[in-house]
Amino acid sequence: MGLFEKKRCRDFYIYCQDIDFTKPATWKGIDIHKQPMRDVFKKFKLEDNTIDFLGHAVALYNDDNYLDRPAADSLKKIQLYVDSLGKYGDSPFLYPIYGLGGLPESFSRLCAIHGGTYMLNTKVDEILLQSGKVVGIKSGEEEAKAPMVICDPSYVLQSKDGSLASKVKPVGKVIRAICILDHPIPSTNDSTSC
Amino acid sequence: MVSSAHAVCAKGLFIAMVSAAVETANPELEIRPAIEALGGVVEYFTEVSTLYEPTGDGRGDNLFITKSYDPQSHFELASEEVLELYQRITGETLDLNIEPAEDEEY
Repeated sequence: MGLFEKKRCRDFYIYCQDIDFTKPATWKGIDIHKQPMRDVFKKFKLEDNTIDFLGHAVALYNDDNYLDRPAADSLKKIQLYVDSLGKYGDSPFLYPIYGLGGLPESFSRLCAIHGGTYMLNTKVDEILLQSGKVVGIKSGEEEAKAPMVICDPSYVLQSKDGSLASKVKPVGKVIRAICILDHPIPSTNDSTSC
Repeated sequence: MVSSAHAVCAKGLFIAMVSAAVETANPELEIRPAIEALGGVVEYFTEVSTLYEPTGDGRGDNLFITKSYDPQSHFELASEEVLELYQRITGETLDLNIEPAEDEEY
């Protein structure tokens, strides 16, 4: 990023930070609830490379459709990024210490406060249906009654030897690689997370 | 990428995740450029999994099924799905704004 582009990008970040979604005066002449995000980038004369970075790495969009949708959603996401920057260490990506297991752990505590029971090491062998409606689940010899079941596709596929498999359909494949490194990723300024 | 700063591995080690939607018959080849950009890895493990989507919206049988996790590492679409699911089940939008109750003391 060149020197002038840096200045324009900085102006853009400040603009995002100062936006109050209920006060049109802070939108600086753009109707953020109607005009597309493209117009905001145009206002700051940002280069395509910078826009790619802001859209995909800051606002975390998968494609470029957001450019033609009202700017407010994208601006909220960029605000979240900027607000997260100084929260913990140098990285805006907040990640639980001791790993993602921290999320279910917090959930189980909150669940207990509200009277829920969190069961570890409990397989769901079968999702029970009666005249086309869910009535509970079966684990081993035990049954739990429930008016509804909320779950991930893997539970449906396992249930009763796959007899509920028609409730889900395969839509693609994903590859994931977990890599162990003995050095930070090159060109990330020795960052401990990114 | 995460590291000992998050207490997920020993000091001096770093853990990076690479993920992508599979588009060809040789998915390992598809992520190779990303792995090369990491500048040398000690060890890496790959896994290819199938993504599933529910065929119904769950309102008929009260079996609400989510989609499988997509390749994103930041769960952006997954969290949107949770909010959408909440609305589908309860008929209301989930309001996560925290407002102190009137009788609450500080």
